[in-house]
Amino acid sequence: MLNELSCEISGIEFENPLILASGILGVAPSSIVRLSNAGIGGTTTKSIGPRTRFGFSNPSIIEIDDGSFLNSVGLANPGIEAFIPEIKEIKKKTNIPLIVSVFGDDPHIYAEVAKKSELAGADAIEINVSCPHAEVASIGLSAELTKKFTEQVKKAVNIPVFVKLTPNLANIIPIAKAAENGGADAIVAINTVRGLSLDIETGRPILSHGIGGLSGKAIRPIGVRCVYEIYPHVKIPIIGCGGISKWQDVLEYIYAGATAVQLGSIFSRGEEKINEILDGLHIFLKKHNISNLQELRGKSHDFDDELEVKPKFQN
Amino acid sequence: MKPPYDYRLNKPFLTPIIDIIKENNRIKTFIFEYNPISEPVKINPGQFVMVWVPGSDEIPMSVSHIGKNSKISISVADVGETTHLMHQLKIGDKIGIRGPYGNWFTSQNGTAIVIGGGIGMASVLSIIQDLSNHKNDPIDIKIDKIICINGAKTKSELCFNKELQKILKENDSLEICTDDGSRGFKGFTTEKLKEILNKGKSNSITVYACGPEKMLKTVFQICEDHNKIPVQLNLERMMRCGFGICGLCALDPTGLLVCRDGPIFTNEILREITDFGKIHRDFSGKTYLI
Repeated sequence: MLNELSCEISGIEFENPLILASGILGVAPSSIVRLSNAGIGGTTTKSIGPRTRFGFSNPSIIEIDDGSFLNSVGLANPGIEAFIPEIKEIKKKTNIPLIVSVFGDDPHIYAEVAKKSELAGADAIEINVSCPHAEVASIGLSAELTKKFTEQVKKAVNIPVFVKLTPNLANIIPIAKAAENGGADAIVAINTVRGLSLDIETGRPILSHGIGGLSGKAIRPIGVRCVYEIYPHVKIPIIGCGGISKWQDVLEYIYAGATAVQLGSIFSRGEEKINEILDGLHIFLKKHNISNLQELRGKSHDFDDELEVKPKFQN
Repeated sequence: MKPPYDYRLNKPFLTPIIDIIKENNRIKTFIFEYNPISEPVKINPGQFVMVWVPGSDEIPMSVSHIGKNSKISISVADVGETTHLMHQLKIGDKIGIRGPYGNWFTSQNGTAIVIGGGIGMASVLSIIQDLSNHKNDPIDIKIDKIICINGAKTKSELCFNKELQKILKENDSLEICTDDGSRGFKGFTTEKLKEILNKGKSNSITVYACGPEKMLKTVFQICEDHNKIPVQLNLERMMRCGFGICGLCALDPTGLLVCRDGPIFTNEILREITDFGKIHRDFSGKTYLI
């Protein structure tokens, strides 16, 4: 299993650092099997809550610019009871790590959904405290709540717990620290960025909910920046997420401090993208004679002392 | 075949309805211009668009007519909340369109049997037109005969018959079926198909169909039993995006997506799909038996 792209997060080994991000293709076991066959390193399910939820009406996913998407799915999901057989089926048909993303109305419900996911076979839990167009958004904006929710889920399960953070605040560092203090085994950064798209002729918001979450190419610099800011302040691994569409983007996240990355919107361009990205990384590592991608983790911080801090003025 | 990916077609384009045709008591055809980008958008028979009724919902619908000058139509049966709202729309009202999405029907040499069950007829109208064009002008593809089976529950729910009569030419045939026998053959389109296949001894038949999935499943089984006659069947699923990321339209066990790998599927793929004729996913992503 050890190879130049393999990595480990809280005892879970990934053959490569590409993980399916929550909310994309993560509802049908067949989709996850297909991505696994296409070479993905791990997968995350759609966020699962305590009961069947239809989310927001369409239009709920649109592409607003080349490779950039706006969605207000609104945490639609079948509910944990209906999803248990799906988790079991995914585990039966694939042998890559499965992360189940969970949410709920309060810390106990998060914990309950997480526990049920663990029993069904999840390898790790990702806590969604950051969906920007649902009730849970407020949790991820508060360090106190993030810690409390993380603690509660940690208490309930014996598998690693990842916390997915929102970029929709001025300073992400206190939230990342709060997740770590709450016992998180890894941080996932970032969830989608709040955005809005309006029809040009009428001025009408296009998504049924109006404001949605921006994903894809447009948010990559925000994601890379968040990982870069968090990295010096936590000891736990970071999984970078947001706007990855090519192998160079993966490297950026690794340089910023990520151990692994999540991919989502790029699958609009087909699962072939997985191999394209892996091939690019292999070639790069070979060319630079690097035995494992992890050697590059956090490399951007080597330059911290060289960055200009104060602007210059005339005179 | 898959369409080239064009991000500019993944955001709804609001366009006014320029004409409305009442096909029968429950089906209306809405005609509009779809020109969201500077160049003409190519739409093929059997492809679908996402249709947004502002203030309500956005649903996938087959394009029923592909006309000149970016004019296209959708034909809508008044069966649910959104389609009911669409039936209240008037000329000049705007609807949002994005797409087209998915693969398409492709005309094959020989005899064509085209089956439309209920509103499913709307999805096969443009392939019938395409087959007819090839028959009149046999350059690359040679069509011997077009047999069209148009089925509905009862006489008043039949649609597009006049239009079909205009498209179909000498030695083609139009078979009308109603479940209650109020017009034409009394019985399902699938029974009519069986009768035609048992009677006729033509080589190289291709069956094109759209309609309720149970009907499609039976069409497929009949064709498989008749020496694996090639089929092109148009499947339908709930979807949010239409371009391969929401995952609601994934088919077990292959993970093929109706929006992108379909909606038209052929024998080799249909043989593998265990969901076919059985399981769909609702808007939450939960599976249910159809």
